[in-house]
Amino acid sequence: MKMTKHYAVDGVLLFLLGTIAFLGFDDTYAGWTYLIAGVAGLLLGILIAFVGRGQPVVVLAVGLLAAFFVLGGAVALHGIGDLSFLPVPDTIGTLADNSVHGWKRLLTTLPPVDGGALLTIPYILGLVAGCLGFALAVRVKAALPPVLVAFALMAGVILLGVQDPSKTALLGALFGALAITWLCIRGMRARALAAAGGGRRISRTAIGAALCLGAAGLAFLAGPLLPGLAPERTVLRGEIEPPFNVGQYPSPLAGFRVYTKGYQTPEDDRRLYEKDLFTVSGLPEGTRIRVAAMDSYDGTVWRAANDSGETEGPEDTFQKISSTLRNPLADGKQVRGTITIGDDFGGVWVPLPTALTHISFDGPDSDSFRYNLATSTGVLPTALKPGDSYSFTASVTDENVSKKSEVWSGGSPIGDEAAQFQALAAEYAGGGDSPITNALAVAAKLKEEGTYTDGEPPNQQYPAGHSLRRLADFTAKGGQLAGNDEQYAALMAILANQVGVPARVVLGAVVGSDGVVQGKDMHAWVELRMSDGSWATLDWSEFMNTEKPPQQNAPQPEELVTGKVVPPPAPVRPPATSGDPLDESVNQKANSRPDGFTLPGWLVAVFTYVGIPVLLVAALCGAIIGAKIWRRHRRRTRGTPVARLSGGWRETLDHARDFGVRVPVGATRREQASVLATSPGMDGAPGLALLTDTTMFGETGPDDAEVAAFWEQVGTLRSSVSDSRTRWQRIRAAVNPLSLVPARLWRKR
Amino acid sequence: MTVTHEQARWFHETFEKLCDNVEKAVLGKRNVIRLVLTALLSEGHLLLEDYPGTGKTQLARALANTVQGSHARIQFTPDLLPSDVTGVTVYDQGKGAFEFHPGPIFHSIVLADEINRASPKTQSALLEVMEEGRVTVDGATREVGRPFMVIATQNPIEQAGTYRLPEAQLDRFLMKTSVGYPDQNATVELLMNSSVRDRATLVTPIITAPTVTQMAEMADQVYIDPAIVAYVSALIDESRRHKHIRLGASMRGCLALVRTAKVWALSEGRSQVLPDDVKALAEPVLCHRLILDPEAMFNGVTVEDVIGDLLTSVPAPTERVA
Repeated sequence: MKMTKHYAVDGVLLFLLGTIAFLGFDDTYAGWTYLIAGVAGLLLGILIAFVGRGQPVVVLAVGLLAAFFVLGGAVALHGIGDLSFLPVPDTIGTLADNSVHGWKRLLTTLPPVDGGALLTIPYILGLVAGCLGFALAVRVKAALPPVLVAFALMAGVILLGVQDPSKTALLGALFGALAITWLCIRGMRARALAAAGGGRRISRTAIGAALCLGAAGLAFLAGPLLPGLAPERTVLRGEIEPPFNVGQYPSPLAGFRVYTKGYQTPEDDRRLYEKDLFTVSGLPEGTRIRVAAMDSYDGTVWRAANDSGETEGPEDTFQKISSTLRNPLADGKQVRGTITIGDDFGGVWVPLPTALTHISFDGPDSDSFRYNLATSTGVLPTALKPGDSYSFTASVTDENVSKKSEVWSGGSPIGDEAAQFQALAAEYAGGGDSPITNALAVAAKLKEEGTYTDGEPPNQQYPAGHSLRRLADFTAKGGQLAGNDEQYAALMAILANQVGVPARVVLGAVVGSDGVVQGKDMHAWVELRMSDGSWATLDWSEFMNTEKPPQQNAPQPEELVTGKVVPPPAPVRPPATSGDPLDESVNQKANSRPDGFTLPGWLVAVFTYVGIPVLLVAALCGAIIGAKIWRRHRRRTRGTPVARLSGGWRETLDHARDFGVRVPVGATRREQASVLATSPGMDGAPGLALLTDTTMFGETGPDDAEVAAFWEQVGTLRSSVSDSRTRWQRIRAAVNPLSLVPARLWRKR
Repeated sequence: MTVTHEQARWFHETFEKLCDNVEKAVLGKRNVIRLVLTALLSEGHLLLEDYPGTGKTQLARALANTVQGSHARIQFTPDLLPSDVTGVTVYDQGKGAFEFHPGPIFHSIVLADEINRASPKTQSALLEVMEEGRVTVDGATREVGRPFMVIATQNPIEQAGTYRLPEAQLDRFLMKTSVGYPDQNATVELLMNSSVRDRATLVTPIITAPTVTQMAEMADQVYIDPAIVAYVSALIDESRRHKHIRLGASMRGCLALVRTAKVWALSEGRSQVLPDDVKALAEPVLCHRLILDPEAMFNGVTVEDVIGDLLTSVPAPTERVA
């Protein structure tokens, strides 16, 4: 009755602590399904540990695996497929896959995560924590170990969670109070001579509980005020490098000329000037659609950075997202819209408005979609195809630069690559009284002096590109500024950075009245970073005059008067649909070849999800059996006769432990033998214990012959024990690792 | 000089016969009888403390009867004088000389019934003889001979008109134990044979006093490994440091535990002491030597609880000293 009460208290407290820990996922997952999965796992784990409380650890492990695969579909995968709630092969495969790869997927998906197959993670955590925590509570006398499991669960949830979750103080205080309470209860239970002061237990419990509550309240109120607290919590999401490299894709700005009217070669029909790229519906006229934002300049091209370093966390990297997204830029009215890709647009860059909060794809493989919160741009590594469509909700914001704007003082997104334009920037700025004034002066100067050409005849001498060399030619003394959006936006962003205004280049379009975006609508503009960290738009019309063609008789800069015509670079082809090389699923799709020898898929799946685990389990069992054989050999052959005699008795005890016999710890051999004798096949234990003791404590002590004879009796008793058990019991005992754990660590029975 | 296996077997068989013999008088109390015989063969004294009518006197008389030797019973009362115990010197007018009339203490087995009813002065008269086996009366010292054993009884519930035994006196008793009420089967058998007024008379001597002395000397030769001696020492030491104990076991208690353990080992036919022997005897040997802290006593802690805690907390040796 007393033990049942202890079990109930331990189970309930572990369950409450686990539930509080799982609430830490509130900002990581969308909805409440994560809590259901976690709590279900917790309950199942506790149940398994309760039912198997008298069984070896290996039985608990098997129970956990069975519960995971048999009930995992119903708990964590319901709603994914028609039969996902049943342990059919697909379900088991998904569970196994997510138990290995789900952790990475969770950490590389921008929260809140929809759940889906990723609910496997809280389910696994709940199962393991519930089973381990309760098993330790039942089996270990010490107060701390099961409470540590609850703390480990909380730590795991924190590490897998988000950087700035809500309700941390409340959850932390509740968790701490409950954990201390559990610790006190177990501590009191474990204390010897419980009779002493037994009459005061209730009052001591009440005082202890009051102290716990007081401490929790104090921590809740004063904790946030304490000095030395880390400004941001450590989460794996912030440490992990997302397995995606956006730098592998060519800069879309470098291929800008594919959208222009001019230059065309016979072999290249990719000119998209008057072709429909995509159609936007649902968004108001004038909304800016962003294709790519380039925030890094390497001296050759402006490109999208993997991590622009704007934030400590992963928000400025391209991460997977679920259908919904917590976007800090989304303020104000939300609008819903749809974009349908036309026949002549493709590539990995996904046209999107600013401040996306929801997206759902109709057609393309949306699993690989990645979004960068800092640049408000998205990529689809499997590439968009004609006819693809996607709906979204976004908070369309567009802040334009004004002279009164305060700019960001936290540093420039580009390094010293473009330092050679420092003097030019100063010249164009004309010594304004603030960085923003200087930047606007630069823009005005470019617009005033610049001419516009796409390099069409007869202006072939003005090539594409925005490398340092091209921009140096572009701004050469004695020449004229001649180029298109590519050169002007690139130069404007560089010069703005030189005058102290962080700037980046954005490629996109402005939605017209009919929503159709053609190549001629594509432009590149510049965004300047404001003092609050936001980015304000500097429209292309501010630094570029598209109506002013270059003068053919204008003096040429010295570098270009050599008579040599620099050939324009080949148009940059849109990236192939190679996908994310680190994304396993995408790679499998992209690299699959029909020819050549490949193993059947089912065989690979069986080997991966059944063969490897079976091999691992077999290796573990082999290691356990090997360790026991080595231990027996060592006990029999190493050390003095006294040590070998003592080892023989310990071998007998360990053999009994392997069969699930509870051997009292710290008792004499004869006391232990009296317990062993109640188990099948161990009738000879008292005699063996007596022989051990009389030989051990006799006047002359044991000699080699006596020890050898004794070990024969040990072998006889072992055989007797084994013969009295079933084959399954013998196998279970052979792989039971319990006896490898020092006996003093286990509760006295 | 050690005990051979044959000697150990003879000791064991004799011990079992003695147990069987005494059990004729005290039914169903085999373990208590074993303890009493162990005290006898350890040449120590025994204190039986129990409620009235549990068979304390029967046990003492049966033990006295099983040994072919002299025995006497002293009923302790408040007006009992020391000379009533030790003896007195009287002037013989016929011989014209003082003549010593030995008291009941000059017997092999002395039953001191309700010892706590006598005055401290009379109780103290037992001190010298219990410790040294001799009596000094009127300046003359006289040996009481071997074997010599005092079996004292006392009633734990009647406190009026009694004098609690001082610690020094208690320490001279090798063991303290209680008989306890007989179980159901023993009770039925006693009732069925209620016509037997004095069951101690059923016990006839099966061993002589010199044999008892010989067995005690044999027990002295039993081997005890230093590891077990260290275990006994650790137990005693721990008893002195236990949080619920005001006064721990004395050195005399330590010696008593070793001596009785040797007899206990021989009684099981072994020529060496095991840790189990020490554990089996720890409670009867130590319980009257430990004095509880008043607060622990007030909280309901008993000496038996403390001894159980000592046996749990001090690990028994599993290997001999190399």
